[in-house]
Amino acid sequence: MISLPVIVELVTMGLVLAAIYALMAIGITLIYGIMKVSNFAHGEYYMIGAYAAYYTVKFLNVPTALSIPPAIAAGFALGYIVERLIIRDTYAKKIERPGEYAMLATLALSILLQNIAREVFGPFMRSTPPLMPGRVMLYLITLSLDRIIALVISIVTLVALYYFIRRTKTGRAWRAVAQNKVGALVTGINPEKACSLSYGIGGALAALAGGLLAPVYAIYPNMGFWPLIISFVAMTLGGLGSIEGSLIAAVIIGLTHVFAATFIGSSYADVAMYVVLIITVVIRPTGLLGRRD
Amino acid sequence: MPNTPLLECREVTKSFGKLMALSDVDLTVNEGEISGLIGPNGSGKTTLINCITGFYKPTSGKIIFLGKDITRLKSYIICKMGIARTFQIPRPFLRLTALENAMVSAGDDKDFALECIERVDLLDVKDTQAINLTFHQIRMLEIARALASRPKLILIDEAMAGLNPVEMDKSIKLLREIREKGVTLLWVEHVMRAIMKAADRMVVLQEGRKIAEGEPKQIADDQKVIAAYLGEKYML
Amino acid sequence: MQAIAIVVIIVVAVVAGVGIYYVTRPPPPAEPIKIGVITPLSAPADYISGKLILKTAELFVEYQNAKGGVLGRPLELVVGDQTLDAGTAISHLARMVTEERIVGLIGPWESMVALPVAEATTKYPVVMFVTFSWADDITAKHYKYVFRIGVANLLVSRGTIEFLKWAGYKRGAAICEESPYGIGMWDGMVKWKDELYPELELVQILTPMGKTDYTAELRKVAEMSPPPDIIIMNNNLPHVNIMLKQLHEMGITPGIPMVTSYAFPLVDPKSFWETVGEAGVGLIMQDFASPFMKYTAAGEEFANIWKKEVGETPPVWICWYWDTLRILVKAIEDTKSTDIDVLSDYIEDIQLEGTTGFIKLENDPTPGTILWHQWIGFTLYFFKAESVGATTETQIYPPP
Repeated sequence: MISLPVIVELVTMGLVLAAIYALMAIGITLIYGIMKVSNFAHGEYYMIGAYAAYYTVKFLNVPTALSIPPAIAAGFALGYIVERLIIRDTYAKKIERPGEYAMLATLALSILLQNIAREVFGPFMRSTPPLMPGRVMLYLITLSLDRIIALVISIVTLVALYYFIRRTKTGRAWRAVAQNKVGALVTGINPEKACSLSYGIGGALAALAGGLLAPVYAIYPNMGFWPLIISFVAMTLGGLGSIEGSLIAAVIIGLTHVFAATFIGSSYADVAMYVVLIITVVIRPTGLLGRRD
Repeated sequence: MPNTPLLECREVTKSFGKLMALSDVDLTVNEGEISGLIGPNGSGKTTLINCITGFYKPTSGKIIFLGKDITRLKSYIICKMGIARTFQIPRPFLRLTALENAMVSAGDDKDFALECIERVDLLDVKDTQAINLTFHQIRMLEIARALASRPKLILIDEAMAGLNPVEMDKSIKLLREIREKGVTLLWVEHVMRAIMKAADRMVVLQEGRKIAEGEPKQIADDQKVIAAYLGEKYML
Repeated sequence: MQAIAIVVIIVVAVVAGVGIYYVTRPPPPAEPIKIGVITPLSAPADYISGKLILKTAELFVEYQNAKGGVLGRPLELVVGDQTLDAGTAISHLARMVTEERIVGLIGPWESMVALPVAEATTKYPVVMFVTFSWADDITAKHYKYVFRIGVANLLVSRGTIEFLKWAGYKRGAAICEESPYGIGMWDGMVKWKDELYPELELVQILTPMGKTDYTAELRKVAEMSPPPDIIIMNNNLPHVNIMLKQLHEMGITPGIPMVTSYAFPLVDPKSFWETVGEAGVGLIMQDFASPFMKYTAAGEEFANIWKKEVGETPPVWICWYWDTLRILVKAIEDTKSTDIDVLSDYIEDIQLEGTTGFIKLENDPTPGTILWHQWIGFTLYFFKAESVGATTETQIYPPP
């Protein structure tokens, strides 16, 4: 049962899952790190990305690959608007405990968006045609080419994001806002603009994941629920606010899911993920790479 | 030396509910000066700095910088106009290196940021994360970060507390060098020995009001000032 | 004297006015008869089917009220979203029975919710109908107020085994969802296999409901050695669509044929084929009505109403929900009562021309038998989807 081909198969399956988990997790971590807001609506950006891709293909009659940019744009636009209209007020207007208000606002938004989606788009499942038809054979199973493409695009995006955060002026400004908001104010950084943009990028990352996976899975109004859970688990496991941490956590979760489902039993896949989370948090309460600031 | 002051506070008043933190404070800073701002605890020194840098909105009064009214502007815009500040309790970006801290202010100009790091003598720790620096080094980093934004005026909020005499002298020397290079300083301080040596002119606040102003020698002999500090152990 | 006269006149006028008002005002509207609908309306439950059930109830109320209601009283619906949680459903039941005083109840849908609610009717009496909740215990526990106009695991699994024997399959991988329906189907299949077709080998693969990615679980089918010659899908919407798609993605099908325990393309063909696509071609599916079967007169009437509103022929379990409502109304009209016990006793012996066949209930009091308050007047049919977009055009068993 446990042989090298099996391990290779399972690790590949785990990494394919992990790449998408990473896009979601990094988005939510970015938002938390800079704005100190737990974005409960994160799953809905994933959903909006998927629907944007679907309707682009349906109404503009373009190949699925061209539906990805509109998905990203939709996620960014919605995120930016939500931040300006709803979340901005919670911290710009001297409310006590702005983080909690913002969190509740995103929770309400999540419920609202799911219901609007169900009424407007209908409850039935949908799907986009494959990005690229074809499969890759791997010992016992084959994986669709779409998954491999999703993996590659995720990695490329993550590398680009890493470069952006570490090396560019704006990335440095965002890190400054995350690490010391007052200090950022006196160095000429506009924290409100940093927040809107980072929330928009977080939404865009989730929407990218949604658009990439629309051909692989299926599209329905509540599809964002499970990605939201994974995002929070990954963010907590990796350490609140640590982008590297959430990336590592996404890989751990992806591999845990696959290995637990295969060797223990599929219902235990989720249990295994939570067990890993709990053990980590008990040993290191700040998460893998989190810190006590 | 031009005649219009660099910074002017006109009748600046700040109240928090019934508490009058500042009452009709007039203050002028001329270009090229080291201006000192002193006063016993609770006199409103830091409040005034916060008003100038946009952290508080004055209840009434005006603040003019380079001829422009900055009273209601946001902090980051005030910084872009040329006012930098340091904090009493330093606020560095803990996970960025010393150099990266300076680069936040300097933008993409790495060479200039490096220069600022060098001026505060932190070159050998430029790639160390701020969280791993000593207290004195963090104080220096605050100044480097302020310099890196190419300011015309730096507001220094208590740079001397907690330093030993050697470190103190180094800091005073640094502030003088900064002034030589053309940056004006408005310096709030509690440690009298340091500020008396370095300041060109001084303003004294007590309970939100200006009670004296002039050269350090005059201030040292001023009865009102002495009385304000009675009960506080400071050697003038 | 004059003052007294004026007062007397005013009092008389007022009394007369009030009296005339009471005599001539229109009679108060008749108190409505309330029917509860507890059905899934949100994820992760099967809200796709739930919405159709709600629609059926709404159409029925409209239809019956246009005929003057029942006993001169209008029908009114009380709706509750069961989500996928028995606790939520039971709290709806409690509220509907104690506050709204419902006489009849249709739903819930998934067995894992329907069974606890059936149990709860002992505490909150109401005439409860299920059609497509397959757990045997819903009738096997002999609840007083619960009736099933529809199928049960034990009845369906027998048909499945008979089909597998007729088609000659020898080794099946049964992918069962972890629910009373999925596990009940497995237990039923094992029982009937031992009795009718012992040469068949069955391997069980359990899957959790509501996941997005089943590749790890489905891999176990690929791992089976020797490989199976048929895959039996005992899973419900919406995850069954994803599983079909992923079996195809992983290369396991179409090499190995699949049979689903219900003809899911019928629920919404457009959405099914859009999501599953190529992967659904060759799918064998079960249903309890055949296009070659004739509707009764009642069936024609309902099919027309549904087609006019929705644009498609109604799935068979929707027709059965229509039948349950007709049964309830007939019972109320014949007994002239809305008492739950009176109605339940009457319904046990009711006879009615249903939409797909004659309805008469089995009431075997032997403890543990599912043939209690159970209708068995349906037939199992097997169809094959020959191309994308197909529903039940091609019947393969019983051979037409």
